[in-house]
Amino acid sequence: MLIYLPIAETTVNLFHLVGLGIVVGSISGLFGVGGGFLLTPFLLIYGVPPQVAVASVAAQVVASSTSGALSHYRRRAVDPKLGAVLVGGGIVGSLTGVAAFDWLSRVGQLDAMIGIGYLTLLGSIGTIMLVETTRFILRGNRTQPTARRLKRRGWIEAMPLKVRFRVSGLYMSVFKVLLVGYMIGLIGALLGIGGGFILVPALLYVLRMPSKYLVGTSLLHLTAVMAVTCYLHAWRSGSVDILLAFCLMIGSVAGAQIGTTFGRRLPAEQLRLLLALIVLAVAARFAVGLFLYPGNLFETVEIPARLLP
Amino acid sequence: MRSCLILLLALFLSMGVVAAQTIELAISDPETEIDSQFSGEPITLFGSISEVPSSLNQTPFDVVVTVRGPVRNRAVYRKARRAGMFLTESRAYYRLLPDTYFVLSNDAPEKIADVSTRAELRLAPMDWILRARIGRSKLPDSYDTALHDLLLSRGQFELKPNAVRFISPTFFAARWRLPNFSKPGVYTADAYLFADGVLVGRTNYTFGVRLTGFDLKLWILARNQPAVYGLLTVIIAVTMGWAGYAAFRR
Repeated sequence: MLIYLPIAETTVNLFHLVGLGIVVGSISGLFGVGGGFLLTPFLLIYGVPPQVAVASVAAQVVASSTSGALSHYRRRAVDPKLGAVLVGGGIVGSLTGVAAFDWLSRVGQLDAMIGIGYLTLLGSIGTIMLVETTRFILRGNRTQPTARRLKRRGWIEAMPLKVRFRVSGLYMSVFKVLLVGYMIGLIGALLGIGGGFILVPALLYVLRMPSKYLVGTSLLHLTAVMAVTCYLHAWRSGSVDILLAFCLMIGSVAGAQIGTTFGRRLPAEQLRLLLALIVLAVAARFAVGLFLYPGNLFETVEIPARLLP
Repeated sequence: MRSCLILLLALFLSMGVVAAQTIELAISDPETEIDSQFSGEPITLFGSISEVPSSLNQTPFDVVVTVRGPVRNRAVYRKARRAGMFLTESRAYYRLLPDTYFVLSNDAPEKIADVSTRAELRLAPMDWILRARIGRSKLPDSYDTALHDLLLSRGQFELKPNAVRFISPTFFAARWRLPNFSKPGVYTADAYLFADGVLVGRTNYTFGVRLTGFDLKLWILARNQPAVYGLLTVIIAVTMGWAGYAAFRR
């Protein structure tokens, strides 16, 4: 069944969008990631303009992460206090990232920065997670891998205004949490993604959050930060296609529930291993895009008048 | 065949016609509407040749019809290998290039008119690419050629040398299909009449492609009240998320 998208100005198959939403929503609910890094390339293949694809995916991420976050909240697997502080840092980071994004677009180095940024970030995070989790599984260790392995960093631990986050049992500086939120918001806005797959490892390895609260708290952060990003896209350029986002949402909210249900049955270390493999797979995709001959050295996109010289 | 011809003529006469010196045009659907179910639409442009000078009575005519869609700005990026990676090295910009462009004719345009005439009338897609290019001379370079080939491969530009059929010596029909990615806006059809390679008549006709129904309401809201549109988007997203959670809650 074909459907015309008034903002994207193209026709797509409704069932393809819903199916895509289910797959991405499942991954979102399972791992606490938004799924934008998987969804956006598919929409570009469909002929949806890049700006509309990124903005509409932001709306879809809000829906799927709301659905997933509520499920985790109901199971008391969210730390609302820590999540709220993260969101505060994330929104400021996101605003900074959007401004930096515009600047890089004008300078003309955006795609190089995105390609290298994705590859470095995903490659290193994926490798660390894979090594860490594999070692953990092989040893059959039941303790948190991070608490034992990571040494305390002087200046980070010395930050003032220490707060107790009772739900996750952490005691740390509020600035440390704000900094993590800020960095994720900044990177997310710069790379045009929600940043969930960076946030989950950051919560685990930097904040040393217990596995139980990782996914739910990450989804809470995603919901709020992507809602702000989505609003900014719609308000600044009107580039969100509600119809496109709605079709994706139908599939993804259902998928998020499926993912959450599966996630409940899988041990935390296996989930981390799977996430590490997905992150590495996406990194490999970017590596292929960067290092292999693209077939056609030229590409064309429609651009707004403000980007003309 | 004869009854079909009479029917087409009757249809032609019943539609509004645009007067020109030697060609009159009418379209099958003067206002194409795009709604959620839009998946492209076939369009027929009818042309009637009148006031034929006696000197051309026995000469068969050739017709080229070009159809331009709404204009958009474009960038073309060229990648190059740097430090082992394929990164964008340089780019070219195009201002107000037609988003879609169709060249319909009864024969290959190269057989109908010479190079200079074709260039002067901007019959070829490349003529419009060169016109839109920012900061370049008149000769196409690798960016222009790449853009030309990319838009042709995507079906945004199309050359249809058999799309014009003569129903009688002085009555023709040009058929093409508006693609499913058509942009709403004003479309311009230019018809050129040739006899023995010489341009003997020309005219143009504009028609609208517009959004309708729910699509139109969404488009207006997004353009005119972006703050409300943004808020609505977030509310819908959160509501959908909650609905998904509530529906699957056990």
